[in-house]
Amino acid sequence: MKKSYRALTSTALVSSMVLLAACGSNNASEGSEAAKPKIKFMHMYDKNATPPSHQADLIENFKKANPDVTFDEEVQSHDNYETKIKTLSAANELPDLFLVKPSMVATFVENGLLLPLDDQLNKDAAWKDGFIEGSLDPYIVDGKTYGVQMSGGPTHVIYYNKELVANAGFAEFPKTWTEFETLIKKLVEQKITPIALGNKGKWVANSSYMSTLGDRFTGTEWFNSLVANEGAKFTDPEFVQALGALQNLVKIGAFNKDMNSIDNNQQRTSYYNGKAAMFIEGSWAANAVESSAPKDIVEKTGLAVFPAIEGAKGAQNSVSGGGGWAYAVNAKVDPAKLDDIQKLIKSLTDSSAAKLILEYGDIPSSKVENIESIELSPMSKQLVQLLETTKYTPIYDTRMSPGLTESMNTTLQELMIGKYTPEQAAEAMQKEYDKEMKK
Amino acid sequence: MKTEQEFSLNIMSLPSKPQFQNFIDAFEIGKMGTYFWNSAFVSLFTVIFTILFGFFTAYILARFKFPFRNVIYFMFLTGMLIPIHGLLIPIFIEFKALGLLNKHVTLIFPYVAFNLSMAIFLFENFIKTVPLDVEEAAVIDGSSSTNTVLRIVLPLCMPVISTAVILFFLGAWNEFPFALVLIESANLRTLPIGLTNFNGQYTANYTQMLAAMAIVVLPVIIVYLAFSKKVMQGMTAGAVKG
Repeated sequence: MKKSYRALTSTALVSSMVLLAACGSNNASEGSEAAKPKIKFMHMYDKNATPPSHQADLIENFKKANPDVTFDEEVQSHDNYETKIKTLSAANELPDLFLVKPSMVATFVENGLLLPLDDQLNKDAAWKDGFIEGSLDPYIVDGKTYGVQMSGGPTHVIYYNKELVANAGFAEFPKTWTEFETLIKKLVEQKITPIALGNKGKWVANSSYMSTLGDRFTGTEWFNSLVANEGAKFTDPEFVQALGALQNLVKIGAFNKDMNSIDNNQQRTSYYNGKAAMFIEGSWAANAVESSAPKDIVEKTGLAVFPAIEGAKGAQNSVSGGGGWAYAVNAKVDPAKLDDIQKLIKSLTDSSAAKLILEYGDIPSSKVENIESIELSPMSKQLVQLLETTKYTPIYDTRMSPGLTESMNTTLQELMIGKYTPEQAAEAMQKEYDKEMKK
Repeated sequence: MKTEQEFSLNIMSLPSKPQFQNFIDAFEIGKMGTYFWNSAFVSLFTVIFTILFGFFTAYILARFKFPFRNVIYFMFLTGMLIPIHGLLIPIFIEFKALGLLNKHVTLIFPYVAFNLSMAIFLFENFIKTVPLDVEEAAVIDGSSSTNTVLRIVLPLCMPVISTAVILFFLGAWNEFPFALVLIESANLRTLPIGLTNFNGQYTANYTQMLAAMAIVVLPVIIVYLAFSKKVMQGMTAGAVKG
């Protein structure tokens, strides 16, 4: 038996050697020596994806215009991108150029992973001054800018069916919260779902509802103070009122029964069918409505934001928006690549890029001159007109830490199924907040 | 079979005009063909190597007494307790240092390594149930030891090997985190990653995705049918033999 044991071991050893040898020789031949170092660029804009994205177009355009710049590109879909960029940051192996969300910026900067882009921005005043006011704020840490944003529309837009709203006795969208609640009660009487909601992913109630609703009650100062840990609390009466307003919508029957088991794509289905009078989502849904809804529904769709809340403290035309993904550069980047990287980021975010972004029905971060000259779809036109009357306020889940966002998402869901009173919900969030601030 | 517009109006209805454009798109735009081949390649070799290494190791552990045998066996078993996500980043760094990132064979290493403990555990238990008398008879009849293992023991272990084939094939076919982190270029991606590409940030192309899913599930069903008979026996592997 002793002999066979040895024979077996040697078989195993030899076979593993063969395997290793087979792999070793498989070195992918790197491209021939380019004059410039390759830019390692990771993003999520696949040029073959449907619906097409403006960023994918702009990246292709840049490549055509600058054949001398070579890329080592990696394209992942949105969710995968997020997972992978976090993994790479933990391994300190970030690419040269990539995308970050506002909630990542603080952590990344703390660990010295991001390069301040102020020098690049200052080189080109027209580019720097072309950004809509406040659009780069979420990426500023200690006065330095770490991210350059291409587009960031509002995360709260009410898409409503004009005909159904008119049938309920409102020729135009309600102007006050009381009227809004009256409209909802009317729609319930008519056996129509007032607002289609798909909160399975939990972020809809936070990003598209609470960020705007909360701001109306508390004002933006409150949120800034909360994020900076300067005294504001979730348990402050104004915020509890906002939670109460949200819960009251559920109580008067504003939402469909299955709101927690369908997602934001599915919430649009009953709206497309004419069974729901409204749904609330960000500006990105405008594209989806235009491409997926039946023609007559598209024509009947009007856009609005939450009506003014009587006696509330905040600005009554506020809409959460402006956050989202932005381009960022690795702190360890080879300085020889910086000029090309600057050119690339500029071409993706400046005002000429903004025109294309508008044509795609998205809201650019740079200003666009003479908007009338651009061919826009009716829906985008409506959106642009709507945004002329509003002002941006922070999107909660892009400015709070991931842990706090998660806690808020879950708490809001539990508030909406009636498990918590507004006070209890506020306390639950505050508890999580205190835990984080102690660290 | 349905267009995106039809789908969004009514998810459950039958298509009014069946059409195969979604399948064509899935292959052309979604690169399903490439992903399919990558997945097949990785899964096949994962299964082969896992079973090869696993079987011989298990045989030795089951049949021989040598110093530290229990320690070694126990170490293999604790391998089953290690959470994959905890090792993701260390493995990424290690592969980067070894220059093993982003190759055709990249994914085979972690897959085999993570499946080995399960394989050894399964096989070792099963080999113990194979009567020693059979092997002794073979040796008396003049069979060499290697021959005995390959010609007598291996065929007797077929039920458990079939179970392992299905288990590891499914595992490798559906594995997600490593495939995401260790592979960069689109040409080397496997199906699970490819599938998620139909999902945008806020919108999803459900019809293409469903077409792609139909493609993904096929081989799994085929493998399962091919080995299902053996699995019925395999299910009872390690149970009391009547």
